[in-house]
Amino acid sequence: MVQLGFFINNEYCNGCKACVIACKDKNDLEVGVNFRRVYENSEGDYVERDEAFIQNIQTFFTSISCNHCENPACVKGCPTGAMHKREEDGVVLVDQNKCVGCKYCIWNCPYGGPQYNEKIGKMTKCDFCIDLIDKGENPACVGACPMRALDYGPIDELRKKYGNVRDIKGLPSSSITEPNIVINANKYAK
Amino acid sequence: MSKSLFDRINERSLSRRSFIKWSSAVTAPVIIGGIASETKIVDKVNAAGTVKASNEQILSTCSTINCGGRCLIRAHINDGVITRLSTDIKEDTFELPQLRACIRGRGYRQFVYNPDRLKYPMKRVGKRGEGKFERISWEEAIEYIAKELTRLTDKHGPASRYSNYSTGHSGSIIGAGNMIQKIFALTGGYLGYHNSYSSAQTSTATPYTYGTTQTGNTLNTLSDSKLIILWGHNPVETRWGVTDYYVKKAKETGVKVVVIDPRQSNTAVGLADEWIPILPTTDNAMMDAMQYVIISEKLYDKNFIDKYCVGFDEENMPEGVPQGESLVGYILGDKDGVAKTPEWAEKICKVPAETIRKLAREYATNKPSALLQGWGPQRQAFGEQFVRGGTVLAAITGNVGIRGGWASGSGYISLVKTTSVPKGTNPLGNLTIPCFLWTDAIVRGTEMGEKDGVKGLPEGQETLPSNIKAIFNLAGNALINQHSDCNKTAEILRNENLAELIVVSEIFMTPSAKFADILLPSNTFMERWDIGTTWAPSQHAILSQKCIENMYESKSDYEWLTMLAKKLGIEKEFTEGKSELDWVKWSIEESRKKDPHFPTFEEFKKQGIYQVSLENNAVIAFEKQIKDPENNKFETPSGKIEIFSKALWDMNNPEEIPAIPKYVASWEGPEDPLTKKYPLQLIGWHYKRRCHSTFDNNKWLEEAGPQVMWMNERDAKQRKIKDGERVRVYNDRGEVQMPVKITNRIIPGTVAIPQGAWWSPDDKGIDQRGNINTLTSQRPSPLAKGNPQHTNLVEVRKA
Amino acid sequence: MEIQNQLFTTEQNQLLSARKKLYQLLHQLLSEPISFERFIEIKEQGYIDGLIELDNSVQILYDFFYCQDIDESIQKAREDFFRLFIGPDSLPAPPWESVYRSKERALFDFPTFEVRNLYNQFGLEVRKRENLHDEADDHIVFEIEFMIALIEKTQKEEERDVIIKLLEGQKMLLSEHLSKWVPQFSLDIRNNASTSLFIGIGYLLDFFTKFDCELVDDLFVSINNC
Repeated sequence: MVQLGFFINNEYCNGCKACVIACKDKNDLEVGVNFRRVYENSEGDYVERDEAFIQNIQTFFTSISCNHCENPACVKGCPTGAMHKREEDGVVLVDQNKCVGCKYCIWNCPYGGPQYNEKIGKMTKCDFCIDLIDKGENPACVGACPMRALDYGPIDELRKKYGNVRDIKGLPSSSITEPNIVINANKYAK
Repeated sequence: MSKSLFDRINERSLSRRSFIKWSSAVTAPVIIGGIASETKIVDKVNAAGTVKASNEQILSTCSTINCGGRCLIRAHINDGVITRLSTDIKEDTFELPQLRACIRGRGYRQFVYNPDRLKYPMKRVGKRGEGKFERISWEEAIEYIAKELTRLTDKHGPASRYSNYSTGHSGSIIGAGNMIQKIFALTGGYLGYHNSYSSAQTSTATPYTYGTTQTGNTLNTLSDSKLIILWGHNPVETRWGVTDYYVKKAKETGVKVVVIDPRQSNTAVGLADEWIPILPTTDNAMMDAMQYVIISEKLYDKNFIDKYCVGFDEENMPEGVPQGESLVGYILGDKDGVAKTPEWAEKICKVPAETIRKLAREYATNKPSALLQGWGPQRQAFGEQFVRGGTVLAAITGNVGIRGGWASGSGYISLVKTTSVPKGTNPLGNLTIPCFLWTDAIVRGTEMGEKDGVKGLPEGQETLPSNIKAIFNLAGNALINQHSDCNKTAEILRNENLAELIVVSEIFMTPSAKFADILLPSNTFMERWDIGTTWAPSQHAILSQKCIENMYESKSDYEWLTMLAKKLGIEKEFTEGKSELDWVKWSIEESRKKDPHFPTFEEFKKQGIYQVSLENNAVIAFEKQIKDPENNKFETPSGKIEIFSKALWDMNNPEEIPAIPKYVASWEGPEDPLTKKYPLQLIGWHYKRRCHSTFDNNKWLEEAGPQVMWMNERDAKQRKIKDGERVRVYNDRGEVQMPVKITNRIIPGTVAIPQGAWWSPDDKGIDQRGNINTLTSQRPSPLAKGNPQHTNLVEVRKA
Repeated sequence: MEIQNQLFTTEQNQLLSARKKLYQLLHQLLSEPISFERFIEIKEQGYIDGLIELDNSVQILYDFFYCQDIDESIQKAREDFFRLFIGPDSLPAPPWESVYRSKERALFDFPTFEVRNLYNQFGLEVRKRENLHDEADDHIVFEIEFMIALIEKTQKEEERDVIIKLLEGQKMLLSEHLSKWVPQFSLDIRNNASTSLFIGIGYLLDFFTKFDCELVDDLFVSINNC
């Protein structure tokens, strides 16, 4: 079995959200439902010396979707077995025939991955664009990034290429769910 | 309580009986005799029974709105309907990068198939601006326009006719604004305009240094720089061609990137090694101080200056200028006694003196370095100084004409040239006003002359022959939304005795459309043929293919202007026998005469795009002038780079139009006494979720980038304002109410409202959406007569 | 004068005819702004009071036709029509199925294709003018017009199998389309209309599409069983 994962080049993310909208477009998502999200993290202040401002503002953006974790909390907590991890590639999916919309997975996932669809009363989420991958294309978010700051592939290969970092400022500890992501951390996210 | 089965059956039969009773009593022919209006569902012509198997066609196209990115859109079409959009998927290389769509490019299906599109021609029935319209036919609309246009021309002369600055077709070869000017030209002439709302100051001021606006290099050369300074430049959001991509590539190779901006823009976050916050309108104080460091520490390129520049010091000044007017003289304070030291500057611009010193040294000693100016800081009261200051920094450090350097200034360059449809010659010559002064020309046109920037007045005529009486505002939102001071503009437009005819063509009911007398439904780029190019530095052109038929009763502007031309008896002269598609083919052939690599129509259709590889096509502005100055002069009066411009000197307005770039304390800047009443500076920015005002009505993009005002924590704390609250932003010109985002990503003392939100005044005239132009001024910049929209003082309170 | 199809009972024939008339009434009121002539015709010969027995909410529609100032009411109703369905402002009740059923709230989404397909199955299509894609197939007026066409065919058809097909088409239109968006659409009309004409239509449209589901079901069951 191969495990698919995402690479997130946090250093170059400029918060443009092309990945978010490309994902919405591909999956026809309503306002409020976002399989991929971009978070802004900004802290710091100005020091006034003489009459000038010295800034110490540290801002970075993090793009995150479902991390198709090794120990997916959403799967563990699902009472119907709707949330499951696929054997062949480790992609975490919802079986909508089984989902009863109880939202336990939302409480359990530390990353906010599962997204509830009010209209159908069921859970939805990132499916890694497995249909596009089958056609030889990139997942929508990866193909959309103007900064080429997202990548995907078998997690082992990603780790060889980009390293092992998956804990950065603003994200929950990777020990909870063992997310299948690799991050090149922004200098302010370390 | 649920009713029993028996009850329900009983009720049912009762209803049925009533229903039948009604039916047999009805005698109205329209109900019993069939459908009165024309039947729309008819027997299928090709009675094939069920639908044919899905047969997807993919056509590449591009929008021609005023967007800096001009991404490639691939429309997936099934049975005449666009079902999905995708973007560039070709191989992605350094020389030929993919033209990936940003969030705006991904919202186009909602643009084309939005139920709110204008569908039918409309005629105003209420007072102008009230927004009351009635549906009319195209024939009625054309008839009305032709009649009114003829009447007004007879009464006020051809110079009363004006096509307002509009950029809905800015990347296009068949822009509607040009085409109505062609009709005007064929029927007596018109009042034209010069400048743009985007770049008036830089386009005007840059040539005073270099003799041209073509000062940009190809972007691949950025990787050869040692330092890149993006001064008020935010390509990540404006999508300046693929500038963001190439800056990132440069950064990956170790080039240091510095962003100077009052806001920690998305560019500053994603690409900068260092962000330097600065107060708006004070850029030249910092530039002056950088020059002070470079001069006093002798870091300038003396050979370069001696060989290529005039006006640096008293030794190389043009004749007839008294002592003490050179750059060195000004910077060292020879005349005014004020040395423009970093300590002097920091009090004005709030950038610490040592930061200025450090940057000046880095820029002067790490050659080659590239100082790229954005267009934001030139859109201020004295924006010309910002432009000239940047060019002088580039010149005195010898960063002009070399690979990895950058001449600064407007930065135009175009590798791919398209050919626009000719609009003929204006019988009134080149009579033009600065585009920003059209409201003045409505009110006091006959008083406006050279000092208002009017160009092309015939010999012996001091002022315009007429006020503007007929306005065609085709594919644009500068009729109110993007022009300054919405309240004042609205008052002028509401007066039906001033402008007597306003024709608007639009896709949506925008604030400008509300002021139409005749409102025409335009089709979108998906429904017509065109060719699109991007903002400078341009490296590609895209065939904007017609993908679907016109929706509802919409037409392309060219289609209805042809109807108008016919009504006016000039159809042949107007179309020259060509349809839109014919003009596209003509344009391609013309471009091929100048550039043999330009694809044929068939090739263009197949590839969708003409993109020039940068591999062997690096362009560096002024390379020839630097390598071989004997045979290649600069196009300035002196033939050199003019640090001191004699032409500006001769204008004899040294306070506002100095001959060397200087810091000029701005009205409504931080030193204006008005700060007592309105203590906060207000600027705008080009928001990633809109292209100017286009897409403001797209709800996905509103989710990705809500309309909020940025405010610093300490300014908010003083006013007891909390994040997300609605605030009142106001000055003497108007008031806006909108939500606030409290963030230290903006320098204290300054607030910022992203430009382009649709002006939505309530019944008291208070804008409820957050249009910055409710608060901006119509006072133009001194030299270019450009718009000063980032120069405002306001106060903010909790709503 | 009613068409008598031998395969149906008298009551069933009467119901078919009544259904067609009611759809025609809706069609008339939704396809163009009301004129003075139309107003008088419907008022004097449309027997709107008879519909009140069917559902109380029709009272509102009735009130419109028995208002005080006819000219003013007609003018207001015309303005309402433009505001609700035509523009130029943002439409409070966009009359297309795709708007209600697509996630983007945009036109030409999957329902357009589904109804186009359905029309084609019965040899019908939306009339197209040259170079003009003037209207999407899932506009309320087209769906109603399609229903009328199927009812007319049913009235005339002599083959039982074909009638079953025609009734299936009507069931399909009702269950897969009208009943999936008309409730919200008519609610939007009711919430945004400012005249009793359109508030009344908002109720009638909603009520009648539900009522008609029962009627068509019963017709379908009985023709299948005979």
